[in-house]
Amino acid sequence: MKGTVNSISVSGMLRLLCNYKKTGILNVDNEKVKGLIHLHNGEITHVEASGSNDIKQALNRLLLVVEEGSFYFEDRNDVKTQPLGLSVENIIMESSRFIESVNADIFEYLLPGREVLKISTLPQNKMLSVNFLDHEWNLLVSFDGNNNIDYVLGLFKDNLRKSQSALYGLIAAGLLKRARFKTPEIGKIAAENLGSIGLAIVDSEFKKHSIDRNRMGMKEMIMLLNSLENSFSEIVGKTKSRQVIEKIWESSR
Amino acid sequence: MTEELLQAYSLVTAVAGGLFFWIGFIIFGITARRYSVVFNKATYYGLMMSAPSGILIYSLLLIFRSAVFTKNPDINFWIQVFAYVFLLLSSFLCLISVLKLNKLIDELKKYRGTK
Repeated sequence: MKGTVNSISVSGMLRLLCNYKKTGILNVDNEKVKGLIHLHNGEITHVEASGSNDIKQALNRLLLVVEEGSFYFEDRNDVKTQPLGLSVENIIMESSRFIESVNADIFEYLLPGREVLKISTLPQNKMLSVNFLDHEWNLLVSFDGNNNIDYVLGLFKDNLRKSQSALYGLIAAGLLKRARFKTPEIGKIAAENLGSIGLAIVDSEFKKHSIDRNRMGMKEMIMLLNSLENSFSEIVGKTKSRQVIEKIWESSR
Repeated sequence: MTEELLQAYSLVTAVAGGLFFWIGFIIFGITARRYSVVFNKATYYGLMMSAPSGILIYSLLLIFRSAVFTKNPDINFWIQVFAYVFLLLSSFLCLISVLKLNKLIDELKKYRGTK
């Protein structure tokens, strides 16, 4: 299993391997650091990184490879078997705290701003052990399945970079996941299909129902789309109205 | 064709014209109402629907005048004055309502979204 760090982060890959209880070696390679992580039945059993003797430091350095690097996983049985007792979610969160200090560009790993996130549920028999800092916890609980990324980051805009790093960690650690829908670009779709009048109808409906477009839940979205369908059909007819509403639904999936 | 027949034709034409005019504005008013409901903005659709009634009244007054009071020139004069006042008022109110709708449509054409 191979990858470059611009398709998935090393942290994300490590979590997946641990969750799938893989056994083998994850090799990480970039200009600044080379190293490997042994996994046995999804447990981290050994870590090596060039220029690091301490295990945690080595892990952090490997997990901070977010720009220009590659990694590959070898399914092997000749790995160390004694678990180090590390929680993968916790070490991902810890490493995310160093992103600012190494000035790593994590922008590519952050989901688009209109993605709605929610806190992940745990699989059966899974134990989670994570130490959160206050801003990480506050960020985590702000995602209730209705708020999109732009909205939540807006709440923590005093320290945007720190919040983005925490968000990166929370997503990579699998603590946050996409909700079943994303906020559709309703205005854009309406403008493309109906011109400026379409855009005006959308804005008017948002105002009428007092809906914040960055934090609408499924309930509000259904109400808005029903109302929009009626308004569109008043102005452009039922057929065209249905076509536009279908396009909006499509973009929310 | 006698003068009476010609006058009857012209009266029927005037009433039919007023009626068509009124129906046209009713439809126009329904469209304006839709814009008013969707955008929550005033379009004076009520005025648009009611204003053409003056044109109908104008037609009816002309019929009334020729049918009933043809031999009394004073009354005929005042009926005619009222008829034309209704026509003028009605057309003025129609113009106002059309300009109001036109203004809203202009705003919508230039709309580029909220900041």
